[in-house]
Amino acid sequence: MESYKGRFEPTRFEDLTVTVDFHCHSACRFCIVQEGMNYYKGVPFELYAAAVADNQRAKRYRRVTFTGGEVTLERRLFDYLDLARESRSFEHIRVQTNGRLFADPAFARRIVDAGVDEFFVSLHGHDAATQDYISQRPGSFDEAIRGLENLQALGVCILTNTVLTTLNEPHLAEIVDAVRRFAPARMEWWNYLPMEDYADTRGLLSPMERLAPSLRAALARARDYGIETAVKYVPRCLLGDHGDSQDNTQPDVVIVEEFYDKYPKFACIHEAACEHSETCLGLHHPYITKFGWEEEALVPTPRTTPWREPEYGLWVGSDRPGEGTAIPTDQPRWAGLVAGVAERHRARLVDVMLQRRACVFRFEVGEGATVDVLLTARSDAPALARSASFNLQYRNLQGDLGAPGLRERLAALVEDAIQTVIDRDPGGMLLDARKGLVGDASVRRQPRRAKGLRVVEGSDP
Amino acid sequence: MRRRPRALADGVARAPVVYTRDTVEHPRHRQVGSAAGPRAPAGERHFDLAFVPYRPLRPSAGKASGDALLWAALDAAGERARWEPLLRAIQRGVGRGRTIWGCSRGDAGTTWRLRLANPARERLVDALRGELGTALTIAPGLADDGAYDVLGIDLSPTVAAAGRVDAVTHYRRGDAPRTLTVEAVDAGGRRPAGDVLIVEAKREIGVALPRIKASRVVDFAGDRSRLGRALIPELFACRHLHVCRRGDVDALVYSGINVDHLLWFLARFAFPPALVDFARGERERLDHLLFDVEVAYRQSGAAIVYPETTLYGAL
Repeated sequence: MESYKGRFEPTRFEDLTVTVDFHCHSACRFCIVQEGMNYYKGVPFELYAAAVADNQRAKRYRRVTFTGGEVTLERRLFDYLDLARESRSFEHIRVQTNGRLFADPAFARRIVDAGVDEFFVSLHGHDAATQDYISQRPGSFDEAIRGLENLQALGVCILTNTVLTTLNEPHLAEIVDAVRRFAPARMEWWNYLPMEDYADTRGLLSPMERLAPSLRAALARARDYGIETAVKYVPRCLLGDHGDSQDNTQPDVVIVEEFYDKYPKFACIHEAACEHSETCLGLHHPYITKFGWEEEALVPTPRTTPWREPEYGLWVGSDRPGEGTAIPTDQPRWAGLVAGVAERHRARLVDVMLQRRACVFRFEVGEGATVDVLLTARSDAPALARSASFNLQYRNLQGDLGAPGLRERLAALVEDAIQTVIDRDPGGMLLDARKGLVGDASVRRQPRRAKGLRVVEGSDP
Repeated sequence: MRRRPRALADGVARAPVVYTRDTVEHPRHRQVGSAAGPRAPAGERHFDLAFVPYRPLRPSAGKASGDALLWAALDAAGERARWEPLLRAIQRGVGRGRTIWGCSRGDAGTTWRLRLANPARERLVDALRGELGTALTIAPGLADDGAYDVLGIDLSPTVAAAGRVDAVTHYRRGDAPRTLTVEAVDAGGRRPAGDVLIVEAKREIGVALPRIKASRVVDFAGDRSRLGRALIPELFACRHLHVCRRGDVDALVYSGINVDHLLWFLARFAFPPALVDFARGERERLDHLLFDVEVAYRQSGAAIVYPETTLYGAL
């Protein structure tokens, strides 16, 4: 009943993002944690170390990404990097950054030497006037461009991130032109999510009638240049022939849990009619409240399969690198936990749904009868059974349970599935219980101090 | 020792399991005491505003009963002593599982709505007169013919002061499928009071939208953003929509929202803090239930305003 559009927590189980802290030397007008910076805490090193140790055992994540705030400001960043590098459990180490400090070639060299091989650089304007206005820091555009030049000279992987607002919406294609010379591996375009300004008093939400054409032009420009693109939080049907660029998945993020409580939720008025409703989020609630449902602009792709309101979250594609658009059941490591069960009961495993906190196997028995086997992180909470890593439950029975033998078939299937998971679970396949900070421990009691920050000349007024 | 599923039932199974037809009980289920919130009685029927039964979302052992919020709302309004005996009498008069209560807040203050199902076309008004005696006079002079599918009674401070409900509401199935016609009825006759269309919120939005847009109180064509404030996105996660037309307002009932949506609704529409606090505090005891809420709206200048909001539950 609770749609995935009501909760936003998809994951590909490939990337782990660690929020080191929330300090920043820019003040982007759209910053989604502007208020949070004054009061959220970063992830303590010990918690991060536990996540790394988990990954050494479970090999769950291929990549660790460090973010903030502006993570390059943090004195302890190199401690975090050293641990990631020395653990040898990640194929890639990435930083999400405004790129300004990499204007210093020595710093760029140092961080690359520390093991970072991917740089996800925010660039929200096509020129200094736009970018500096957005960041409220004169010179920030030039610093970022020099930083990109230095990183390119070091031969690392560069990706860019642009947050779509009214402030840059007319210039999106020009941003592609601005970064083309750095040969980014991918340009990501994230529609602005108001986390603290639901009423959009800042006037940052761009109406789709203006945003969508500009974004399509940028995507076309990137395609012409051979640059891969990814778009988040813009309805797929507004992307024209760039629909495949839509990617609403997010990494697992170690962050204050309250962050997700404040994340905008989404809805689409054509949800039940659209083929892409399992992957497209539609519009976020603040947008709908301000501009309406866009019921005429959004055009559903007719479904080829019956729609059923999802309960567990966004279906994600394969957890194999480069196969993100594979069918939802292609989660080999997770599907392997119940491989063979469906066949033993003349049933089908029709979906494997992964979220941060749950894995759901949906089995179909006969025509239209389904049952979900639900895995959550092992805990003391009531459960039907427990495996080494999981609490196991079933729910969401669908079908005519009065039909002769159906209840017994479903019961046998559930019993077999649960027993099979127990037998095969190697341990360490930990779903996310509450990995981030929770409650009083997650917020600052005292005003922030500069302790722990690198001093950057002229960065803050 | 490995535990195996003992039984298959609706909702989340737990071990060891005691299977009943509608719920699965677990001895470890946390029993939370509550002054205002009675526990769910075994075998409690769950149904929505259209009296359509639904399966609870969680096992109901140790959870709150469907009327817990009613008593909390009455407490919050300081009107429990006034209305509880009468509500109990009505519950006795028509039987459990046939009554919906509503707490409605609007320009006229807080009113209490009752909807009584009448599938067998009984003379419910007469039955209630017999049950209530002199405590409350219902539609004096009205000859009850029982020709309605749902009977509506609104209770207000005015009703309390007079000891009398002058008019009742008759809901009857309309000519078109899933429609209801609404009439206000008293000794002087019956007057049209609106109509209702009930649809599946998402599958049948194509049916609901034209009806919503054909409003006499909101110019949707003049400003497309108004639909985003009339059809509230935070509540679109409901199971059914009731598209209601009344005299000077339209209303949407979001039927089948969960407790988190309910908490949003209560906060958004400024229900009494005591009720909001109760719902927040009892969230885990309410998370097996679905709720129905109604938001009436009309246009005022360029804006959409919400003159009345109502929370419904089963009694």
